[in-house]
Amino acid sequence: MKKYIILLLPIIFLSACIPDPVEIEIPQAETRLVLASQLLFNQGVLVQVSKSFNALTETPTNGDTVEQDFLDLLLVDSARVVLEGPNIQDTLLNLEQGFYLNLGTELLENEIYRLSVFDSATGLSVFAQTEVLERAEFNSVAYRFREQSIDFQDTVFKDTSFDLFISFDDLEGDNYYMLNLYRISQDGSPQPAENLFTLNQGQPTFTFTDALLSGETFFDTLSYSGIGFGDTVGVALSHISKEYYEFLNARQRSGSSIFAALLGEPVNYPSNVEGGYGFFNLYFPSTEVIVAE
Amino acid sequence: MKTRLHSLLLLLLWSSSGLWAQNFTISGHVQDAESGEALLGSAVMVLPGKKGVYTNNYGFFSLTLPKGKYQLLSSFIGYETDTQTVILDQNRPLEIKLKAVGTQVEEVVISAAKEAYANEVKSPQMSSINLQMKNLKLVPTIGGEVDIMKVIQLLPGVTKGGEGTTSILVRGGDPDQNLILLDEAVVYNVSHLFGFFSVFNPDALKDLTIIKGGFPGQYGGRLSSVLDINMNEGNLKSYHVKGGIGLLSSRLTVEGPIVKEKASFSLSGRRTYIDQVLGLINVPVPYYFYDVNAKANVKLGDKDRIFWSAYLGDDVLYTPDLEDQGDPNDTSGVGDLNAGFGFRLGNLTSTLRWNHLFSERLFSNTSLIFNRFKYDITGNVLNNSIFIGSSVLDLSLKSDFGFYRNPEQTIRFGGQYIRHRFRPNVISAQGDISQIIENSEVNNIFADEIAIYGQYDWQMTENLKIAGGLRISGAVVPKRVYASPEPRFSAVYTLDDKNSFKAGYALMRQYLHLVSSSTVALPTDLWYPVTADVKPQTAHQVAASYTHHFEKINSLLTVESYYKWMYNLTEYREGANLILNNNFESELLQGDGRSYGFELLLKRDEGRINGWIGYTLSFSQRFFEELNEGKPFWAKYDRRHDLSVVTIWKATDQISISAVYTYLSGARFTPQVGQYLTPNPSLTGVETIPIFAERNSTRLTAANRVDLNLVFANKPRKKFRSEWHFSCYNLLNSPTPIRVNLTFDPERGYVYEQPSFLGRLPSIAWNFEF
Repeated sequence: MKKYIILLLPIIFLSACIPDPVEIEIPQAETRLVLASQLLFNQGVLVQVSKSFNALTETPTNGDTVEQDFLDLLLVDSARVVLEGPNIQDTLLNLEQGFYLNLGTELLENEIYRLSVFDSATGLSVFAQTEVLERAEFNSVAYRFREQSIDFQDTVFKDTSFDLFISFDDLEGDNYYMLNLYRISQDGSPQPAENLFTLNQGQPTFTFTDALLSGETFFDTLSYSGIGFGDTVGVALSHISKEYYEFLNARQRSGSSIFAALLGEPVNYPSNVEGGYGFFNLYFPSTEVIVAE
Repeated sequence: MKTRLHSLLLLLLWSSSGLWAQNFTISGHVQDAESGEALLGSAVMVLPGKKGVYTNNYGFFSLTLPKGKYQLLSSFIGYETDTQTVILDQNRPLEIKLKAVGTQVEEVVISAAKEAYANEVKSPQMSSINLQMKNLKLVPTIGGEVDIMKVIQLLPGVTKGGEGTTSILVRGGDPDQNLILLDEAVVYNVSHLFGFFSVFNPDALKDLTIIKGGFPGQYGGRLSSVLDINMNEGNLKSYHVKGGIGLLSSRLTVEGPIVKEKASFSLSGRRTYIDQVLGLINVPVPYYFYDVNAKANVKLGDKDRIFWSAYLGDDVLYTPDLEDQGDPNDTSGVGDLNAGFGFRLGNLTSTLRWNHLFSERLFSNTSLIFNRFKYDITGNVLNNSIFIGSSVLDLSLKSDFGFYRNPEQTIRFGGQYIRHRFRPNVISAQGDISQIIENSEVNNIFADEIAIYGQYDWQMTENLKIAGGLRISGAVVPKRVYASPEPRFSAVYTLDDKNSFKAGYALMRQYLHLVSSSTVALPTDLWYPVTADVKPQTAHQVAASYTHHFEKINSLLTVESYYKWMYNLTEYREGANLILNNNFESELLQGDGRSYGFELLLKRDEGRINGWIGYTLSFSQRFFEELNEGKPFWAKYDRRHDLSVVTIWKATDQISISAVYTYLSGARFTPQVGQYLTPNPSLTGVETIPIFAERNSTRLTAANRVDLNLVFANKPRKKFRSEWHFSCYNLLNSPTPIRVNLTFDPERGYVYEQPSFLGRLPSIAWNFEF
């Protein structure tokens, strides 16, 4: 028996291995139209129309920007985009690069507007509607710089945090808000204009709900370490729909934790576009500009 | 006249006393002749006709019969059948000692198994499988030591979570719906090494029973299964030592009498030692786990017996202080981080049991049970440190009674009270980090569970036996009291000695759930009670089966079908973050589910060639309003086909060969099937948004696997017995997909690939016993 054992020992230790991964084919989602929109200071609406694409396609970039050839495949320039509402029925002007514009129409608060899109090249169509929500206004915007230090091996490392104090009056009903920070200039030099197709380089965004708000005025302190002395900062407050708030939160939650990425269930993002993806939003941002001195 | 009256009274008295006194009781225990250990579930039958009873969880039986002369036949799988004649003219105690049979006496083995199978055909208990540890030790394993959770995964109706893990999912249920009892104490966490090993040291165990449906009244608190595991009591007659040395761990068990024939003990320990071995050559593997099982019992006269058993096991991860691991020439001190990380998680259980015979026919057991599961995570860097701890602790009192009225009727009743204390997410941070991480206070949450039950087993006719019962359970949690009746019913109709039909119904309720979104055992998994808003999970299950005893091949076939409706199941919101989340209730969703399926088990427990074939066809769906757009979706571990073939061939007295073949449909997952670009919220660029398919709409590829085990034993009849185990897990290195990755191929771009967790994994172990 010892012979068997001696013979088997090296075989045992040398034979361990792991199988090669097995490929699997997974049917891809059909291509659909993707909508995005923005009110232009309540003097018009800009709508962007694009197409969804295969999960196995990597978004090609040139530096930080999505490659134009790839954009040409995605952006839809052959669509008929119609905006309808109590004071408008307009086929939007095709600006190319997937943008469609209505200019000179003041959209009315608390009214519902509908958007119909038909792409003659693909035969795809989508429909969306949204309400123009009442505008939220800042009561106050203030800031301070706060120094933080960490003592590490007799060396003190210092960092400066930018604290933003905001307050605004909560509007009636259940409301959802979004606040965006923009660094307009750094050390007195204007920031270069951002390319609209820069990939994954968003500015800080914060969301709020008034569900837990006890008073009528919303106070909050936001900390951000990307702002330095002398920077000019833009702050935009928007009153957004519940669906868009849930979309933003889903986005934050799915990427907020390594555990969520490894073990959590995938998140399917909400959309208010019937038959497509994205969001048809019509909200007025209130803006303030501060020079952080 | 006076004399006549006296004579008449005497006659009446005699006849009436005779009417009552004609019934006498034979009661006692069935035990292993060599060790004195109780044999649970062995049959004691009266010949001819074979009406009789089965021993309870302590090996006790009681037969009340009219005065007369009887032949009693006692049988148990793996033991020689015992037949003895009893003259019943008074209540008689009887201790039945069965001799274990060896493979060399094939005819005796077959005969014993035949009796056992004939009894199983007649038992109303369905959806239940009993496994004796001594029969499992040849099943191929990882590391040369049998893992009972992985053996259970080979049974029909039971599937596993991920490949290589010890989690079990029974009849379409969830991982937290299994009541796992070790000597009646709940084991909350059955895993070591993130689920790779189970906490059960095989040398410390005697047998186990898994019940998947037709639940008897004494069990409750989980929806899908009961896994009742019994530890060795300890040899009452002589001292024995057994153990094993494997690649990953070693184990040692000592057992023997404290007072011969009256008191005994069993003490087992197991520890991984790869940290110690590689530490000798300065390769740090800062992880180990250990288990300690202890049990003792003492007979206090003829009517009382006390058992005490305990289990302690921990997983320990510790990073050594990094202070001395930097570059020795570096004088900057930058490498001196004073950093460390570690966790310790594990179970502690203790059970004190008192068997008492109120009479020959009324048996009772009262248990005082303590169990605790906790995890502690610690970390430190520089002058900062953090401690995170969670625990669940139960104290339980349980009493069970069995009244053996006659061979046709048994009444069981009892009750249980459990006091739970949950202490979730205690966080304590020191140093600068405390400015960022908020300390949380020790917040105890108490919950009380109460249950009473009664069950009546009745042989109604020669062919029909029923077991009907009612369990009333309840839970008291802050701001809410829950209570519910749980009816149980099962019946067997025997066509003849070889064929029977069985049917059963059970309503089960569950007042605890696991806060986890994964079947991987994480140190942060925590149990939590129902609350005023989170309702108890409930399941109705019906099952029907047909059992056939193939006498010629000494095998038992069971085909069974079930349908289960489940309510208030728990899932978590998409993207929920459960790690250190004290407000996880806001992430929890409740919905319904249903599962149904068909199971087949053909087993042969004894003989030179034995094993089983198990096949399951199953379907499991979920309905949650807030998931999958409110549409029904398949459960994650809805595995359509599950086939296991386990074969053990005792080729000679010294050589055994065993093999396992499994075919398992892949688990389900939600793939990304598209994407789109959309402006980011600040409108300063675009971001990519993934598009996922419907929840759990796609399957991983099915897996085939062959495991092999060769055992070379020394010559039998030697006092020192030793065995070499050469095992190979996944002999053919077949793919066993565990997830889907998006992988970039330079020629074809991105492709979906399914990596495997384990491939061919050989191991060697040496086991001994004397």
